[in-house]
Amino acid sequence: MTDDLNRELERAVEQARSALSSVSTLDELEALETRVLGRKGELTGMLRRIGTLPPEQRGPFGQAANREKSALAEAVEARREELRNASLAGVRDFDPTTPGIRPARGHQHPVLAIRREIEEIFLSMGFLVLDGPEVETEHYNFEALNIPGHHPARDMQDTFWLETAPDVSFVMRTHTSPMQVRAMERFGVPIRAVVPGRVYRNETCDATHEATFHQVEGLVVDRGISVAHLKGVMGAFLGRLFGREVTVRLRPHYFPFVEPGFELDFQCVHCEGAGCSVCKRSGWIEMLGCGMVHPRVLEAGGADPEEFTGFAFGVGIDRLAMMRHVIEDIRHFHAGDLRFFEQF
Amino acid sequence: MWISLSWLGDFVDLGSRTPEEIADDLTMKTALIEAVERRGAFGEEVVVGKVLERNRHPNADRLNLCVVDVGEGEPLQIVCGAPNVDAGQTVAVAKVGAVLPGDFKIKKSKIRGVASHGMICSESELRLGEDHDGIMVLEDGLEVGAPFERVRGVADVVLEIDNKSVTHRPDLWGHEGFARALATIYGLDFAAAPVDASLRAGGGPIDVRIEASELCGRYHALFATGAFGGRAPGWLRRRLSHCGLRPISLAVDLSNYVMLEIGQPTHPFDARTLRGGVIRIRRAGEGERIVTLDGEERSLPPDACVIADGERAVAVAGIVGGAESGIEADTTDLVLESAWFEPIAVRRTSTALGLRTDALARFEKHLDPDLSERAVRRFAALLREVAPDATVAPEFVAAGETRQAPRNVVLRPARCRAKLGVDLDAGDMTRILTALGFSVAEAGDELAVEVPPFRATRDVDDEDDLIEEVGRIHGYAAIEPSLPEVACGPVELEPVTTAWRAAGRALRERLGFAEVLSYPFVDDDVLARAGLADDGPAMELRNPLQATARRLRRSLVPYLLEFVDRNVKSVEDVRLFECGRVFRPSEDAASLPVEPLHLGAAWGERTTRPDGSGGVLRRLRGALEEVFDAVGRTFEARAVDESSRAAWMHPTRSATVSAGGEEVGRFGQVHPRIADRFGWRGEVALLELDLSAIVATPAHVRPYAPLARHPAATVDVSFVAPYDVSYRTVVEGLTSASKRLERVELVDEYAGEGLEAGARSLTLGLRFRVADRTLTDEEVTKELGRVRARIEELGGRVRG
Repeated sequence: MTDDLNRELERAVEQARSALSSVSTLDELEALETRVLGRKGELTGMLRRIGTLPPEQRGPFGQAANREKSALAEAVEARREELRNASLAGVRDFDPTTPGIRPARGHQHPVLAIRREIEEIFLSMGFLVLDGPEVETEHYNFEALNIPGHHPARDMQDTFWLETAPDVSFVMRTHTSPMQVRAMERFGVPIRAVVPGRVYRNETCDATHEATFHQVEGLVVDRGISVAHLKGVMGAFLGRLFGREVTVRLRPHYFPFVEPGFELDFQCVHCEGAGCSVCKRSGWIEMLGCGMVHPRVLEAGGADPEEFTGFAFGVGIDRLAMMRHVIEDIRHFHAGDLRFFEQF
Repeated sequence: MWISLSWLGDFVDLGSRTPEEIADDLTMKTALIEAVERRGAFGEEVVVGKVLERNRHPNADRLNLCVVDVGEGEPLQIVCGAPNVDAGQTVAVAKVGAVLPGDFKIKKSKIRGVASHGMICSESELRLGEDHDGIMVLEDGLEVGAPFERVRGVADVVLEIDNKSVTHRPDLWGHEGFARALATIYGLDFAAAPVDASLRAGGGPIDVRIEASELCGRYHALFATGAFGGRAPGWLRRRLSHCGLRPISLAVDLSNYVMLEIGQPTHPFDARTLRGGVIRIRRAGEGERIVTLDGEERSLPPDACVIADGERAVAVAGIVGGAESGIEADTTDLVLESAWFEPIAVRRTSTALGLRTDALARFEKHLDPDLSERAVRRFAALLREVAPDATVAPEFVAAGETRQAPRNVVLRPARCRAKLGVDLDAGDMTRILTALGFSVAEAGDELAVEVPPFRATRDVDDEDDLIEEVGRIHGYAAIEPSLPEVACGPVELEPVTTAWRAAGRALRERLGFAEVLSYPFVDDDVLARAGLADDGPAMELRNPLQATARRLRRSLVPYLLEFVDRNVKSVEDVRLFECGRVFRPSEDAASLPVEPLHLGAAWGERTTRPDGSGGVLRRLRGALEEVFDAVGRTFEARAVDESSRAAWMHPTRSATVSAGGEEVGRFGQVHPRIADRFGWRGEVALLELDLSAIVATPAHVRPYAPLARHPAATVDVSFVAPYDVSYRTVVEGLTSASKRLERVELVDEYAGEGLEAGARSLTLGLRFRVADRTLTDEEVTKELGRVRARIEELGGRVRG
């Protein structure tokens, strides 16, 4: 009895193995698997007949049958893998260098992109990001900033003046600096804030001059603020903006609303300071104006200059965008030409 | 402004420091140096030559063909265009390979078919003077072939000062000031320019009357005789030309020399031309005119200060001399004017005349009034040195009383240290200030500082100005950077900036719009093309760049239309948006205008798609929904009525947008009239929102419903209805008709072929549900019946 069943098992396994080696498609393999190992398959059927054996033979036969069954199942899996690999090794039907399918893509204005980066950098350092009016009073744009009536910056050729009633005087703000005093008035001191925004100069436009451009103003007022802090914050800001350590220098410069006043230059990133056409052979690129807030400006903002000191800076960002992307003409920024914007 | 290092050497011994080192130190501690240039050095390739022959050029009448001995075996053939070249002259020859100032390289060339092996040089080509009409003829007897620089050149290095970096420093408009700065930086001795101390203030042959004392505070007149129309010595002419001034005559060159040296402009008159024995400093008369030294006749602005003799104006004070009273070749009697003019007034006159001069650049900076007398004494000393035959009258005329009052400022070393963030003691500060010309006395913990008059006119007037002096000379590079310790508190963007960012991100990243910027000054034509020429009161510029662009925008639409037009011809699908301020005058004229931040968007397509497939107008409405989602607010759109419709809006395909009960924007298709005017085919739709108003409305929190336990029944229903029956009316109607209607969704909208004008077909997806069980088919059919009945009631015709 056992011998019959054993022989049958042997024969079935042998047949299954030989069939396995001759199947050539995944479908044939599946059919074979069902026929041999399936719920109604040959091996399963034989195991069901185990009850016909005498009790002492059931154990050994069952173990042998299960061993064969799992060995066969493994062989089927191996064969499946072989067949699948063979089918996949066929004709190439994908080219990874063909561009993918993307949703319609919009474009960020390159100047506003830098504006937002700068906002993020200063937010991360705990600065408020404020807004101010673009039409400004003569008081905030000039007088409160210690720019007296005869200062060259107030000449007709630099400033856009507005038609107003005779007793008031409005200008298109020539810089974001009026917000130094407005911010101190609104929030008091200590304060740390940046003010991004549009400014205006009555200048004929050409490849490097625009009548309107963007600046970011910065202001820190507190007890004990010094030039060392100005250097520290500017270094942190520029390092983040350029994504690497930049060498900067503070060069004395006169602005009426700071004392001492500086221009901050950074070492030319093209020639590493050796001198090239980008930096006009000087090795340095003028980056921004800054300085220690003038005591009269602190007073105008309601802060006591004996108790508080501060620093301020103003950076023009159109030029930064031009440098970053090597843009040859500043007028592209306001021309609305999609061939320009599609590149960003 | 150019500063000569050899000239600086008159006042300070700079030793072996290189020009680049000096330029760097000045840049970091005094004023920006823009360039370092060599002058008067020509190299071995510029040599003394002798013209052996001068022949006509065979192919050009005005050119000469010269044969020139340059001390080599074979004489050189050189083509020369100068009219004054002749055989026998000793000249300077730039051989092939020479590099002349301005990086001008001499190469072998062919001129009109004839080879030329070099160039015979003019003064200007060697930057020895301005004369470029002819070649420079040298004295005979020079060694032919010798390098020219050994014969005539005096090598010098000049530094170009960025004038903008010294606008606040009247003391730095001459060599003496820079020498003082360098002496301070390097701790060297400084010697001021020598003056003639023997001269006395007194009378003279001409009477000086200051009639406009508010415009002229001091006036000095020096009298001298000599050959003033002659040449100044070579070294002096060379210094002037190295610094960019053209040598002219002895008197003019000396006057210019004094200006470049100590910063005080003076003006030489030919005494013969001054009539009536008097110099009057007065305001210009009504309609008064003068021919200035440049030969131009100018009418004087009424408040200009002029120098006049007994009869007429002979100079515009502080700016330019008159042509008739200038130095001529035969001038022997000189009146030298040195004065202090009111800086704001001379500046105003210069602006009115449209004329800027070296003298004006200095007077407008507010010079020390005492410098006027010093210039007269310096001129006299120089004249005696360079022209021993000349005589100077022992007395000069001095008029006017203006003086710079001494200024005393207290410097607290502790504040100086705190503000600079650097450890300096009172001794360091005293040393720096003293070297710069300040007088310093210690008074307890403080320093009592007296500001010298040449720094007190405009520049230094309080403690922080002194801190700047100390910091600058100590060197900002020496200050160790540190980050401030600040209180910690929440920071944020202005709400409207946050809204701009969110809306912009949605438009750019989800909808493919490009962000643009336009001018806030709107051109009248641009406004007219948008139909917005009479769009209400606008702020206006008093001095616009163009007369037609004086209005400040009240809307972003005009330039959006222009930008669409700029692109629509080359781009199939134009999507643009701008966020920017618009400007509306305040009710109260004394207040600043209102400046809300607007968002404007344009969607244009060159080809019209049938409606219902999502023409640009409906897709722009989708953009509107995205924007409101992004800024977290809700809105309602209503068909625009005649009274609030802007001229650019299509009469029926436009809408107003409101939020929080206020109108906050509008959108719509561009009126065909405007599209025709631009010559557009296809469709353009615009959207304009007032972001400032939108962020002021309550933020929208998305409502939440607990997750349903039982399935819903979903059914589509289609019907035709007039456009007048709004989608909103339908949704509200259906929702009230069936309590089990959970949600209505637009599946499709169609208009056009097969439907009458003004009608559309809508397909809605309806979702019915109750909370506690699954609806039976009969129940759903019953609800659907209610819905269909309501559609018919509203004027719709249910299909199928």
